[in-house]
Amino acid sequence: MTRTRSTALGSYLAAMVAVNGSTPAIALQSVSKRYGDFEAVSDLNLRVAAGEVLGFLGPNGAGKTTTIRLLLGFLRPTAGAVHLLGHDMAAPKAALQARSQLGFVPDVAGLDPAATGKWLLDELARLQRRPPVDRNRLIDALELRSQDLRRPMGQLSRGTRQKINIVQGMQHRPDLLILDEPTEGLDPLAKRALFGLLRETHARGATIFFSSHVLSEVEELCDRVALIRSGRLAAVDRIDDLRTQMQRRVTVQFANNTPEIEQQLAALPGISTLTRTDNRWQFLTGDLMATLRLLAALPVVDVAIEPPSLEDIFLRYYRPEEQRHA
Amino acid sequence: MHEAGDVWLIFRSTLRRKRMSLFWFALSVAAFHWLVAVSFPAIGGMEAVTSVVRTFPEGLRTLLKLAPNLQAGFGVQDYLAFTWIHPLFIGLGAAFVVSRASDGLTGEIERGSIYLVLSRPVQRWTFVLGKALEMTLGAGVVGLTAWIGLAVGVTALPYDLPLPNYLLAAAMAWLLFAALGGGAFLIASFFSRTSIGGALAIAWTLISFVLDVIPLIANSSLAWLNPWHHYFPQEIVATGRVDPFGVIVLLGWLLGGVGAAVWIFARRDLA
Repeated sequence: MTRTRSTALGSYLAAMVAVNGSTPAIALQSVSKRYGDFEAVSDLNLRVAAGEVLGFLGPNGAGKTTTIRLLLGFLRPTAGAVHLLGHDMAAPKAALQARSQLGFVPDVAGLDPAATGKWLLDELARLQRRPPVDRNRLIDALELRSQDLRRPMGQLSRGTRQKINIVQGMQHRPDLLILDEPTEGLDPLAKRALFGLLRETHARGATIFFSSHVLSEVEELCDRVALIRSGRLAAVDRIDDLRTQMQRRVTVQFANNTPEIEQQLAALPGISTLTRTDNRWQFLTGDLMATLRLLAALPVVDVAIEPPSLEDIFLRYYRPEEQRHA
Repeated sequence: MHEAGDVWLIFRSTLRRKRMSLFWFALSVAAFHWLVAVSFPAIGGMEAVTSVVRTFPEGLRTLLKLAPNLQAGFGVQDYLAFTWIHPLFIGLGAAFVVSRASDGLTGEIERGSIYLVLSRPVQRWTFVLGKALEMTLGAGVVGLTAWIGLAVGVTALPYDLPLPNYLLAAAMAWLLFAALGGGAFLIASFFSRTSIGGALAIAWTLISFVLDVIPLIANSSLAWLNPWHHYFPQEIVATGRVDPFGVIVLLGWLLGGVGAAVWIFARRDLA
């Protein structure tokens, strides 16, 4: 627990240094939200630099949606402060300014089944007070047909409704885009198209806050990830940096097996889950250099060293407390 | 300036989405008032109606807000005025405003559609006002179409009836529904579940109605606070006048209820 906290704090400080001198697009300062005795999120500290793509990962119920609602001002923090694009979201006028530059794609948009897509997009564009300059481009990229936009949304498939939801959040070319599980209901082609659009959005300098529980999506798209667990940020770091902190999985085959080899492997610093099948050994190592030095001195026939996937990182942080300590 | 535009946009968008529901409410009350008028001869005319009404015990007359002294006569004019307090009409009117209030606030949160609007530079109070405006206008349409139904229906009757007085009664019905809607908005502003907000708003309309027919409460010094206490369609039809104080109280409920709903909604968590 102490290590997790210090990692999170270190990452936070690193992020602060990284964005030093420029206004962060998102700044959460010691934000907590409490409902009676239940603390939905606790002491969140997070800064997202302008132009950054941050993946916000967590299992269901971890506090992702609560955090997003705090960001957007739908919920008021019990403690702490939220700033978007330099605007204090607790101040109504400043919050309006922030929202005029914001795009939001909610997980459940509750689109009116009687309304047509075109009508909804027009109405929301008027409320945004920014022209929907990117609407046609988004519609083309997501392959929304014009007849889909003219039909009541109750008659559309879930995927098509989600595409309309994406268009409403991005059509006015926002400076900060917050997406909550945006790929829900999309087919693989539409997901590809969305990722292409998000890369373009990133390329023009917009900030993206991408909440998801799909690890591969976050890994593909994001510079950094914030991992939330039980309402607390478990880690905030670059995916590559998180990987370096993780153990590597080593699979090694020796020309012969002797008890000395097993003893030497077992004595490696940071080794765990050492298993053997015939001449093939598998283990996790936290000290790659020591492992390489040992292997160089042994009769190795074949070796494979795999970097940890984001899933490994995710599981490390979300494994139950007792398993992590074990 | 932007805020007024937002109120208008939210009002217009809500009206457009709810137009079919408004149409059916309006058609129902119009058909009901038309039916009551045209069926008057079929139920036996004046004599039959008077003889039936005279058998009502005093408590029931109070409940139905009938003329206190039936010996003074209960004419076709009173009979038709009775349609404005008929349970079907007031039930439909109250259901309309309660459904608008609970759907407009709690329903939007429950469906998640409010997040699309309020993630934009829109102030929460403009959202509530836009919804309340649609409810108020809708209640007016319900009152007006009821009067149109009655006006069309009485053309079939051989009586000279004071239609402008019925229009005043319709206007008072509008104010009553709007006042009940103000209370319903206030209740809905606290909740995020339509089932709870709607149930409490229905309870508010029913309890306030019942309180106004309990003599101990209806005659107390606080009775004037009850919206139902100022709704006497028969008196309006008979005199062609509305009580200005009643109008003020009903407007007070509308403005006060919506104002309080705005205040609460602007300060609460939306989840």
